[in-house]
Formats: sequence, C-alpha cells, structure tokens
Amino acid sequence: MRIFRRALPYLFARKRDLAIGLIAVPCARSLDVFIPMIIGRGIDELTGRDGSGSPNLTHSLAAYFFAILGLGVVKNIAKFAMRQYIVGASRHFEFAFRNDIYAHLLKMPPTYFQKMRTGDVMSRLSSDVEAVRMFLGPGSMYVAETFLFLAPAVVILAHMDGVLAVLLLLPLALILWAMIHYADPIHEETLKAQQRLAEMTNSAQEQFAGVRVVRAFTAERLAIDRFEKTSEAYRDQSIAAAKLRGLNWVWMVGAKDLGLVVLIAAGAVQLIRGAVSLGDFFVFSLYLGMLFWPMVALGWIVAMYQRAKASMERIEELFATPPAIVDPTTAIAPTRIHGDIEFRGLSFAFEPGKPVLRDISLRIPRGTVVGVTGPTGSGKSTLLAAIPRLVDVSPGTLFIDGIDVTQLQVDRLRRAIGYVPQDAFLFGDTLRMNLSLGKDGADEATLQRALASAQFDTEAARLPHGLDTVVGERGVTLSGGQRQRATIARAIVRDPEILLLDDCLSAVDADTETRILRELRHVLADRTAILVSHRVAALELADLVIVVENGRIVDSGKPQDLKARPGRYRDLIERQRVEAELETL
Amino acid sequence: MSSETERSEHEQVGNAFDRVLLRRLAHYAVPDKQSFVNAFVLLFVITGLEIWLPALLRQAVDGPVAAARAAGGALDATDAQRSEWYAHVARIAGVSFVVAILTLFVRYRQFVVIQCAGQRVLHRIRSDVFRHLERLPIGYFDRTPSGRLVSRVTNDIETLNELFTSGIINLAGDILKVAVLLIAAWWIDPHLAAIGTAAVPALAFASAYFRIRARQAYRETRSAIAKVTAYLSETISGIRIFQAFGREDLARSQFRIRGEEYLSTNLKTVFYFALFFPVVDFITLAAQGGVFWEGGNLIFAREFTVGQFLQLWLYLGLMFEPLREMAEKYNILQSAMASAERVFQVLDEPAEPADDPDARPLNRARGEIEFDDVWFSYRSGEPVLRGVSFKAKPGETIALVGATGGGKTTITSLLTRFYEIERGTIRIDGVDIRHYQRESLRRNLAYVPQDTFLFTGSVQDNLTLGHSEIDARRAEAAIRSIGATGLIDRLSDGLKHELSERGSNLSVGERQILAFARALAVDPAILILDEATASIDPENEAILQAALGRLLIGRTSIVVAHRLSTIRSASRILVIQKGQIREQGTHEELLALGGVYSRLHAIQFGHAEAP
Repeated sequence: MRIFRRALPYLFARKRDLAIGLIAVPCARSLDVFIPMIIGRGIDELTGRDGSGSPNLTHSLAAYFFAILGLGVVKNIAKFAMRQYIVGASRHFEFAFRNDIYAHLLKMPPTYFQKMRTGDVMSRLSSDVEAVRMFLGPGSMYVAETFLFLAPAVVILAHMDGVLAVLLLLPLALILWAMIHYADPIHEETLKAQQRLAEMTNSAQEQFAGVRVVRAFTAERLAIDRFEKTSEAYRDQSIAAAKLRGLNWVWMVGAKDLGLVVLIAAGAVQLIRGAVSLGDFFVFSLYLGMLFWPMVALGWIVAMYQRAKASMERIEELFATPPAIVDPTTAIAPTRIHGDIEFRGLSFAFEPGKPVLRDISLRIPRGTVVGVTGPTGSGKSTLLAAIPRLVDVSPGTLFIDGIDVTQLQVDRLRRAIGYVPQDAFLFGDTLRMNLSLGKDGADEATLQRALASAQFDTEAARLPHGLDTVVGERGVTLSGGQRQRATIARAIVRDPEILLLDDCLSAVDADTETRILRELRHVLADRTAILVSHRVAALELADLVIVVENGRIVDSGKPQDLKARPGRYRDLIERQRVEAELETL
Repeated sequence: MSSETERSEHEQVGNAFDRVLLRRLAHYAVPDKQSFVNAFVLLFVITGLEIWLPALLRQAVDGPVAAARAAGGALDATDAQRSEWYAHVARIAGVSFVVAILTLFVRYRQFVVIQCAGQRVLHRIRSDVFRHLERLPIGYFDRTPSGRLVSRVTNDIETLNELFTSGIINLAGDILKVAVLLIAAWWIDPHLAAIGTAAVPALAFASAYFRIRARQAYRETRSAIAKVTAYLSETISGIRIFQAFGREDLARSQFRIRGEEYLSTNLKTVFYFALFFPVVDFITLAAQGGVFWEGGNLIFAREFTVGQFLQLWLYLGLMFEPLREMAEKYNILQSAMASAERVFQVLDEPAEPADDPDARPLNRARGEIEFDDVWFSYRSGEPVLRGVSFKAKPGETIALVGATGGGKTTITSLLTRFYEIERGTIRIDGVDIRHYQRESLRRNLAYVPQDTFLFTGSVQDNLTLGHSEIDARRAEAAIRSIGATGLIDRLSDGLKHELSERGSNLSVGERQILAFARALAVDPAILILDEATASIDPENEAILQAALGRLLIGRTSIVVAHRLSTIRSASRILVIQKGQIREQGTHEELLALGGVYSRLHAIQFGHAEAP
C-alpha cells in the first residue's frame, strides 16, 4: 500500500463520502448474510426441526414476508449508499489527482516529451489514473464487501455443518483457481491480440494514406494481400484469446454446478444422518449462489491491485522527473526588461557528445533585428529557444539586460518574449482564445492591431464566426500560411520586448512575408527581434545577419555586406536559388 | 473530420432489429451456417442440462431424504434402510456429477464454436470492406479522413463481433432459457410460478429504465472523456507554447474545466449504477419473499414438498439472471447495428466506373500525351482546370510550374484517371484514355508523389509492389542504374532491409531515391513526378539530380517542378495559373517572352541570371 502514498490524500479528501460508504458496507453485507437465515428458519419451522415433520410456526408466514421485505429495503438503501459514496469519492479522487499530475506535466522540460511518446504520457493521465482509482475506490469496496460477507458466511456454514461447509467451499475455490490460473495466459493472449489489431490498423492506415501510390502502380493486389494477412493474424489470435477466456469462464460457472452436486451428494447424506436440518440445507443452497460473486471479486481484486501498482509506479516515475526550471530563491524579476541580449560562449547539447550549439558569442543591443540563417539542423531553432529558456543553458552564457538568465525569474523572462515557433501550432479552440494565450484579457483593439500587423485581419474577419471561430485541430482548417500568421499575431498581442520568429513564414508567400516584416519593424520599433529565415528578402530587412552552421556562427555582418563578399552567406543564397520553390509564380 | 465526431459516431444507436441490415449481415454468416446452427442447438442442450440439476436436487430431497425423515432419521433406521437411502443418493449424485461435467464441456464447446465462427465472419467482412475500398475512386479518399476509414475496417467491424458471438444467438438463447424455466416452474406449481414471474415485468421495466438512463449517461461520459483526452493530446504536443508564453495557468484551468465535466457526467453514471443493482436486488427479494409466503402455506398444507419448493426457487434464480443482462445485450445489439450501418455505407459507395465493354488494353504506349480543352472540378461549380490543352511528344519532358493550388497536381492526377474529367479529352497515343482498360493504362505510368510514400516491408517489396514481373534482379538493376547502390550497401540487409512505418528509418533524400528507383523498376512509358519541395541533404541531392536525369531518358514525363535545374532542362515549361496555361515554351523562350514567367523568375532567381 505504500506505493499509493501520494494518491491516498486525494481520496481521503472526501472524508464524509468515505465514512458514509464505509458504514454502509457492513450494513448491507450483514443483512445479505442474515436474510437467507430467516428463510432457513422458516423452512425449519415449516418442516419441524426435530425431524418429526410436523410444522411448528412461531410467526406467521406473512410476518416472514414482511421481515424479508423490510430488511431488503434497509439492505438495498445501504447498498445504494455504498456504491454512490465510495465510487463517487473515487471519481472525485480521479479528478483531483489527474489535475495535479497535469500541473506537474506542464512543468516538464521539452526533453521529457521527446523521450516519451505522446500516447504514453496520455495513458499516465488516463488509464493509469483509472487503474489506481479502480483499486482505491471500487477495489477497496469489493475487498470490504467480500470479506464482510465471506467471513460471517463461512463461520455460519461451518457452525451449521463443518463437513458440508468445507465440501461446498471446495468447488467455489475452483473459481479462485480459474481466475488466478488463467489470468496471466489470458492477459498475454489478449495483449498479443491487441498487437495484431494494432498491426492491422497500421496496415489499413498505411494503405489508405498511400492509396494514390497503390492505384498509380496498380498494386491493389498487394495492398489487399497485406491487409488480409494482418486481418487473418488478428482473427486467429482473437480466437486463441477467446478460447482461454472461455475455459476460464466455463470453470467459473461450472463451479456453481459442482456446488450443487456437492449439495446433492453430501447435503443429502447429512440430511439423512440428521446432521443438518432442511432449513440449514436451504441456507447452504442460498449461500451457494451468493458466494459466487465474492469469489470472483477476490480474483478481481488481486488483478486490480497488480494493475494499480504498475500504474502507480509509472505515475511516480513522472513525478520523479524534475520540472524543467526551478527558480533559485535569489531569482530576480525586474520591472522592465529592455531587450539587450548577449550570448557569451554558449554551448548546448541535448545529448552529451552531440553539441547543437558551440561557443556562441553575440551581442544584440536593444532594438536590433537579427536575421539568422543556415542549413537545417544547424542549431538555429535551439539558439532561439535558449532565450525563453525552453532549452536550459548553463549559467554565465546568456544575459538579458546584462543579467544572467538563470538568475531571472523564468515567468518574468518569458513574459517579455513573443515567441513564434517553427510549427505554427494552434490549439483547437477559438481564434480569440489562441490569441489571448499571448496576453490574458487583451482587448478587441489590441487583438485587431496584432492581426493587422500579421496581415491576417481581413482573412480572420471572413472566418465563419470571426475571432470566435474554432480553429486548429478540431476546428476550421486554416491554411499553413494562415496558421503562421495567427501565431505571429499571438506573439504580437503580448507587445513583447523581444520577438523571436523561428522560420515562421515559410508557408506565406514572399510578398506577404516582406509586408509582415516591414509592418513588424514599424510596430516593434526599439524592440529586439531575432528572425530565422531562409529567404534572402526577409534577411535583407535585418540589421545584422548571422550564418549558423553546425552550431557555430560562421559568418555575420550587415546583409548587404555579406552579400557583397564571397562567403557562406552568398553560397547560401546561391544554393537557395536552386532549391527555392517556384511557388510564387 | 475530428476525432471527437469520430467518437460521438460510436454512440449512435441503431435499430436493433433492422431487417435489411440483419439480412445483409446474415449473408456474411452463411459460410459458417453450420457453426451457428450448432451453437444454437448446443444452447438448447445447455438449457436442458441447466434445468436438470435442480430437478436432481429435488429428487434427492424428496426421495431418500424424505424417506429417511419419514422413518424418523438415520439413527433409528436399519442398516438395510440406510444403505438403500445412501445408494439412492449416490445414484442421483452420480447423475448430477455427470450432468455438471457435461454442462461444462458443452458450454465450452458452444463458446468456442460461436467465437470461431464470429471471428471468421468478422474477417470476411473486413476483407470485403477493404477490397471494396480499393475499388473506390480517389475522390472518396479525398473526402473521407483516413482515420474514419481505418475505424470502419477496425472498430466498427469489431463492434459487430458482439453481434455474432454474444449478440443474436445468446439473446435468442436467453429468451429460450427464460421460456423453458417459466414452463418448468409452471409445471411444478402454476400459482407459485405466477408469483415469481410477477417480478419479470418489474425487472424488465427497471432494466429498461436503467438501460435508457445509463446509455445516455454513458454517452455523455464518453463525450466528456473524449474532450479531456483531446485537450490532453493537444496540449502535450503544444506544451512548448504554454511554456514559452508562461501560460501554464491557462492550460491548467482549461484542463480542469474539461475534467469537471467528465467528473459530473461520471457521477451521474455512478448514481444510476448505484441505484440499479439495489432495485433489481429488491425486486428479486420481494418475489422470493412472496414465493416463500405462498410456498410456505403449501408446504404447511402438505400440498408441496420442500424439494419441489427448492427446485422452484432455483429455477426462479436462473430465470432472473438472463433478465438482468438482457437489457445490456440489447444495448450491444443497438450499437452493433449502428456500426453495421456505417460499414454498409462504405460498401454501398459506388466503385470506380467499370471499364467500357469495348475498352482496349494499352500494351506499351509510345508516350504521346494530349490534353484537349480539359475542364475539371473537385466540387461542382469550382473549376480547378479551365480548358487546359497541350501536347507532349514521346520522350519529351513537360515541366509544370505555378503557384500552389493552380492545378499542377490535378493535371497529373487526371492522366492517371484518378478522377473523371468534365469536359474535353485526354489522349495517350492519340486515343482517349477512357477507351483504355484502366489497369493497363496505369501500368504504363509511374507516379512519384511529392511526399514519398513507402510501405512497411522490405526495400524490395517497395520496389516491386507485388508485381511478379519485377523480380529482385530488376529491382536491383533499377537501384544500380539510379546510382543508389551506396544506399543499398548502407542498409543492413540490402534489398531485404525492412523499412519501418512509411520508411521513417530513412532520410527524406533516401526515401526519394527509393521512390525514383520504384518508378524506374516499372520502366514506364510515361513518368509523372511531383518534385519534392523539402530540402534534401547535399549528398543525396546530387544523387537525386543524377537519378532524375536517368529517369527522364526515353520516356514522356510530366513534372511538377520546383528546382531550377529541372525546369531549365525541360523540353517545355507550362506556366499554370488558376487552372489555365498562361504561357508555354522553353526556359529561354519564356524568359525572352518577358511575361509572367520571366517576371516571377526574376524575383526568385534573378540574381543567378547574370547576363
């Protein structure tokens, strides 16, 4: 249970619910034990316990009926309360626990998300939290329920007739045996079936995505063969898994039948021997049916615990990953950031031995527009990401207004920066919400100005619901260029001291790009801007161009100077000429 | 379409007994008819065995036990009496043991028979749907997100599983069971049976009420969890944005809002479940109490034995069980029918029009291409091509240049007959392509799309694409002549090297090289190439340039061109703008013309054209 240390406080936060639920369980279960005994007693009185066979009713049958009915009402109110409060509490637990895991996730360094697949991260917050909930909520309820029924029931049965009790429990143990015996093989085969299903899904996905190639090369036969092979494999594996499930199920259900056989054989003998009365016999047969589910639940609980433990371990792993940046206690938050940037011998590597940035030194006075260019993978994006500390740099290598960035409060630093990443990522929400990500509560005029600067105002106005149109993944599909301009507007809304544009205009035509950049120069006068681009036209607007290759600054200077002299910048222009798209034609 | 719509789609409810759908589904079950019949017969056997055991219990209680009790118990009996009673018990117990074991086997047999049959039927439907999809026009794939298609051949058909395995047959089996038990109970005592079965409508009502409420609540829950998951997946991929903008607080509160909705829908579900089980339990208990009351009277009056009473009691228990689950099974049927409907929608999509009866095969084209006033639109009223006419002589290379969305790729797609044109004619070797058998037409073409598409499998599989006439030697020859032997040597198993999904273990350049090799292996009369815009590492770029040269020799080529070198070496350049050919000629001619091409060329490449 120690493994659930972190989770339990979230559950205990629902004290009242748990208390009601935990009182309800013994109420419900004791009545479950009790009611068959009333019926047994009734049978005894009807048949004469002494064996004489003459009835000897102490209460009328109607009294029995109303007793059963009344206890039934109480029992089922307790049963309702038990589920409602315990399972309900577990849902509250899930909500609170997941929120905190998510909050932690938001602080994770980007490297964490590079290492982990999105699906894995998501399953921490969905299926793993669910597994823990199942064990702590319904699981603990089943435990209480099972033992509070099983223990008294066994004691009562043993008290009525020890031999018969043992004999009856033997077939019921089969249920437990089947559940434990088949759990692993079923799990294994089901996992394999899921793998086959995943393979089939991939195969279908691939064939659909590549349908043009398939058709153009008349490779339909191959596509069908491949799909059918995966479908057959899935079919066969599903059958294998089903057979095991069937065996498990048959033994479980069969255990009940074998229980009846025991009643017929041993029960009848004990009746003849006079060891049990007909009423006892009746109680035995009633308990037989009622013991079925607790036995199954016992098997469940074991599986639930194992699953929850594994899930909790994975969640703990997530918490064990330290947040990207923790502000030192001495961190400062200047009221104003001017936007002087200085790199001093900055080097950076995601993996040791593979430096992405090497010994970058550069002074960018406030108000300078710096153009950065260089081949793909040369480290341009990392250079930009270092400024808002999206990649974390060593102390003493990067200074803003002369202050070491590691000494700045990271929130303060980021508030001064408008960052436009390479992938024009918009959230599946309204355009307004996406823009106000830049600045909370920005007024309409600010939003409109930002859109205008990004040359997106007219098109935004033409969207079905204007700024309230849902865009992004789950909304109106914007073109690549529109998305890019929206992300630029998002950064401008912040009115940042430092603007970082990471090759964010690649899908915008050259004309518009130039217009946007001219506009930006105007809007962001005296602001510092760093602009990564491949386009000469864009770079020409910069005060200073640096060429990055293999993580080093290999050339720098005013664009016209760089163009005039042979060097890597001119080579780059040359090469781009060959590569450049004819898109604008 | 979004995944959210996709999810809500699965909430659709179908008519559980839609006859047309059932008939169509039954069609797929026909080859396994025998299995289904067997499974049904075995259900009869199981029900028979199930009602036998309580009868045996009664025999024991009313037989030897009653005899012993009448004789005043075992203690006072003679040895002969005792051994007779015990022998009787042993006989009954022996039979009951055999019955129990038999039930076990028959149940397992029935389960396996129906599971196997069900899985076979599913495979049959899947493969039928997939085959049909391979015959649908490309336009269908443009309209339908591939995620949805995948879900048709996987999830939807999976849902049908329940229909074939636990659905129809078991529902029928349950009805049969309830009926048989009812008759058996009636036969024991109609009066008591009536009291017991009074619970049936109450149970049915409770169960139906719960079914409706729970389904509704479930639907809300699923749509709420879909929102949570969607938000999660989206923010995980965009987490840098929140971090860069220092707006983690916004993400947290947005996540919380979605979580709250999930919580409240869940609590509703919890409530219905918390309510349902106690209500069912109470109804059952009330019926049992009633039976006990009336049965007690009968026993008191000696009109009824304890054994009979026990038997009846057990029958009622057996009868309530399927009643409780029937509602659940009905739900399964409904969603299965909704899935079936979606699956059949795909099957009802019209396939690519069949070849004309008098269509002829195109054996080896010379490669003369002619577009004659071709008009085309993806959506009616929005023409993408407006009267495109041009000719390519065998061996010529035609470069298509122009802005994105101008119609360049469309021209190439029409040549492969991915779409049917609206007006005009496309001719190959002077014959309208509609007069060729489609497959033979496509066999004369090779298509290199902009984003290279490689399939999971070996390099060789990707080159041969299942065509028997392209063997390993020919594939290797294609690689060699394209100058990519270096690439193959680098791969661990050469041609047998397994590519991961979409060839993601290769670089963009390497993938392009393989796509070129694939086209060359086909040795087509006509090459269609959509040049990649992605930048490629210099080493592979050099290989690609050489390979392209090799590829263009001896065949007619239509190239959507992005590289200046490709454009300049083309026999002719077509400048496509807004679905029309604005200018055509060689590079020099077009520059001399001083029109669109030269102007735009000056902007992009101007500096390179030093006089």
